[in-house]
Amino acid sequence: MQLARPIPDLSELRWHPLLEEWVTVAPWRQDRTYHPPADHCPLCPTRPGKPETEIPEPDYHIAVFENRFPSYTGEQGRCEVVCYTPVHDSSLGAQSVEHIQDLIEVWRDRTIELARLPNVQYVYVFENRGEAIGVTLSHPHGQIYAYPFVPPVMQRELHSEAAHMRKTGRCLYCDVLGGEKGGERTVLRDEQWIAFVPPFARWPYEVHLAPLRHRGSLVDLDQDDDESFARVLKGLLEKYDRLFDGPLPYVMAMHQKPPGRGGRHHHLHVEFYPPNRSRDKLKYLAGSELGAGAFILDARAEDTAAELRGV
Amino acid sequence: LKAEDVEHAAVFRSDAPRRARKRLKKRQVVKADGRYLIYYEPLHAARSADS
Repeated sequence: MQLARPIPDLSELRWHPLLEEWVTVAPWRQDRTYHPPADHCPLCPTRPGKPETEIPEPDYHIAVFENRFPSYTGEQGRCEVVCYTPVHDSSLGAQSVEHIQDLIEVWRDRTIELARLPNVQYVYVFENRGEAIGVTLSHPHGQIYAYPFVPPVMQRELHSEAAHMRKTGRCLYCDVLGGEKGGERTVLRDEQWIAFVPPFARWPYEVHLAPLRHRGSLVDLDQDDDESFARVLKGLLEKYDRLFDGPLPYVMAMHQKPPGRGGRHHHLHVEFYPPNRSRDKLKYLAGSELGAGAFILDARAEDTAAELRGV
Repeated sequence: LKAEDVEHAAVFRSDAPRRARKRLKKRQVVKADGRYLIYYEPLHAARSADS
């Protein structure tokens, strides 16, 4: 039985033998910056006469830097912060379609660069938005983790996709998208991308964004894909903020195929999990979800999709 | 195979390189503590005012 993978001066990776997955122990993250006042935001550009922030220049378009409190660094991997905009009181959904296309190019460039690191097995692009999710810096930003292993959720997806391919000769997610032709769970779509509440959603307002044609990762997207992705992403985030007349918290999780030949049956998609189950109530992961891994949902995907279509 | 399956298989097996047009240039610097910082800027400077 594997108990640990000792790597001095790095995070400790401990093996969970019951769930067969890695747990990463990084005690220094306890000291990370916690809700600084807006005029001390480390993700804003450095203003003349003010203390230096993480970004020493007076302005930027999009900036990426190594996380000061990384879960993975050195030979283990990387943790990066992606600052979407220099404007503190903004959001991803407030950016222009053109700016979001730029951001997609940044995500793609980081995916290619980080995948080249020797021990990186998976590049994960994500955003935590809102205090309800546990965000400690409110400046619009996302993160990228380059993991030294394929994380368990991706492992399960890859396993299901490989099994489906063996059984049917088809991509599993293409078949999921095929089930959305009726449109009753569609939030918005165009010729290239769709946003929909999957029939198997585990959060009331969970939405998946996916290219309608088979694409494995950001690296596989062409110009039309990028434009459509940016447009549909912006449209969804605007709907989210109109839903309860304010910034809706969410986790954005980009599921792309792992680097190399693994995961060649994977279909790129982005999953959104807002914690709200209504305007003023949050869904908490509790006994059934956390202790047994069984999600219980008090909303139908068809109803929440109609609600999102209507805003 | 049905027509849509044939079409699906054709898409799925396509390894033709797809490329989005490059829009950005990047400039990497090293911070005082050794961490890297990358600035991504529009290739065409006039566009930076749009966002």
